[in-house]
Amino acid sequence: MRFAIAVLIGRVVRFAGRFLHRSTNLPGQVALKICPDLLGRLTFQGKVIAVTGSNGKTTTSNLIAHILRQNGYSVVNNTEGSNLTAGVATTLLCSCTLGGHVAADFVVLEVDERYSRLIFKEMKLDYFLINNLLRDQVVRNGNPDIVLDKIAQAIHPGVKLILNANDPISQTISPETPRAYFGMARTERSTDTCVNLTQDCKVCPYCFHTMQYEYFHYNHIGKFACSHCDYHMPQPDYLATDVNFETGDFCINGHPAKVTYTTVFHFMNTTAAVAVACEAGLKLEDVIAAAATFEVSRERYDEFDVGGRKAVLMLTKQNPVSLDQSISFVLTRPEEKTVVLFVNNVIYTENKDISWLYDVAFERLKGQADYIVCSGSRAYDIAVRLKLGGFEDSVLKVEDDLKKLRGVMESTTGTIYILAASAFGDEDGILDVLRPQK
Amino acid sequence: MREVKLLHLYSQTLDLYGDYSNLTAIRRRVEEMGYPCRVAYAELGDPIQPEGYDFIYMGHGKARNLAAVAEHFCSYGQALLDAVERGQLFLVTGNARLLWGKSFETYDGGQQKGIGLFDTTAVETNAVFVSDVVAHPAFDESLTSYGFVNRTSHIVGENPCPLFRVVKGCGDGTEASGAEGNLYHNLFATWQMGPLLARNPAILKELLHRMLGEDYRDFDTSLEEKALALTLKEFDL
Repeated sequence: MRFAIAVLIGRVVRFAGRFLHRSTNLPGQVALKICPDLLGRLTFQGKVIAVTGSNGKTTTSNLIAHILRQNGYSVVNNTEGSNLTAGVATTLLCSCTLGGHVAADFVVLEVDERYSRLIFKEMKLDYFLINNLLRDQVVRNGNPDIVLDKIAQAIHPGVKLILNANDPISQTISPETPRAYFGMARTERSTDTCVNLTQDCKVCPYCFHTMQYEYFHYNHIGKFACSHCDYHMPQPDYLATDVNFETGDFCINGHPAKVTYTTVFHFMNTTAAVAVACEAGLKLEDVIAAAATFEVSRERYDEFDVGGRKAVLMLTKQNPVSLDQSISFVLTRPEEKTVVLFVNNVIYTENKDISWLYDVAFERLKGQADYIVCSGSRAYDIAVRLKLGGFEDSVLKVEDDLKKLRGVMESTTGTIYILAASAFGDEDGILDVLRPQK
Repeated sequence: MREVKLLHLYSQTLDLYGDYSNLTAIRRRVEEMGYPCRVAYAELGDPIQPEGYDFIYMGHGKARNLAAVAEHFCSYGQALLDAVERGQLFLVTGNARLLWGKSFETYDGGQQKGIGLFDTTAVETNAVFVSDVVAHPAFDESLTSYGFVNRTSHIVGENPCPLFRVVKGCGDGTEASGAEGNLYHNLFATWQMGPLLARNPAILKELLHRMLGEDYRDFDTSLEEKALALTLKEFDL
């Protein structure tokens, strides 16, 4: 009875919440209050797929849903990125019958690393993709070991894991659980040494001797083998090869594939999504064809004009891997440029910690960016970080007062790349100053 | 001209959250003063020989990694204790501090011995605990520092020689006990992780003074001081 009331009330709240713009979490919150084991009581006609990891959850889960839909299956997924317990409950409440039955062929859920154990405590899970594990927001998540332990608690008998063969950390999870691996062979952008300062697996997670890498894709993701014990990169069941960053063409297990967004991350995310869909029973050729029509959401990317100059906005998370990827993108652009770094206090907690900036390889911008403008409430702390990295005073401009930023920009040259590491919406402050009113 | 020798203990195994920057801050300023500077590394399995180093650093690590180095570290316990008593300069940040106490609880609930310089133990919670820390360093209480802790352990026991008198945030445990870290002879130890020296120029200068004595040359830290002042201004002190 409690369950039925929870489902009903959750749906009413969802309907009302649409007018209050609080419809992504509130219905689930209310329903879980009424019936705390709501998720465990739902029944599913089809298979449940979950996606977690430090980076790429939203894109990969949306891509999996796209592949399944293109192949004619009905899919329920949390497209809005509400990946905590209440958000997942909201997604499912909106798609189930009043009796709590989810009739879709597939449920595809992006889930937060820390919350996956709560979400799947009693709920059915068939396929579980862990994209990667890297040091994330220090304040929220702690180090990858802590995150891995939490994810492991979400894994119950009957689950099949889809894991990154190139990631020596995440694949150590739950060794008894059946698994399939995806991976990527060396590309033209692979490096022999790690170009990032964040390298979370310098030593073997089993024997703690030095880990050796034949190549790196990014951070600690690459082809690895322990210098002491037998731990080494497994043979991927789904292997991306022949990656072409110009055209987006590549191969998965020898079959021609294509992406429309050509970053290292996206080639890997696509390979991961293809692996999940194939494990769920689809044919590789059909999966690859569907993946090729997927358009990456560009909500974290925008282009506009600032006083006749092109400006590019890239929203990054407050973690080093995310900011490092934005820097990698800037480095692929050949023109004269000014990089604006916008960093505020830690999202949600307002802690003044900026230790994660010391894990970002800003040094790669030396000689590549004509100017670097430090802005946001932690502007001077960014400048201290860059000075420690050996940047010259002539390159750096520091302005923590957003109102004065436009004046500072006038003394810089080239395309403006704004790397905003802040909460969504936080960047409005800097955009109000720089972007002409729309 | 004197060459300055720095030693980084377990740089590969204990490596989190920009801790390396403490060594970089020292090296960069030493080189600016005109002294050649050499950094040596002692990893798990390498012998630890403190003699001859001007500065020895060890930082925060994952709980499993800390447990993995503990036996090795303890096998050089006497040499390390002697070095501290001789007045060699150390900086120990994050959970590397636990190796210097009597014992600590490991990530899997076991007990691991430390080298016993301090009469403390530690409990492991396996839950992340974070705090800003605003404090006055014991070597000059007129100064105010900022740091950040992110840890899963708490230190238990008497602390007769704290490095900081805390005005905001946690001490060695979870409470605002008022005392954090250790300053014993020239061993500086603190839970505060990451860019401690980059963000607190006065602590960096104190270490360099103790390291170089008469060879110390002062340097401009106006940028760092401004950044610190702006950070401290955000606290209701």
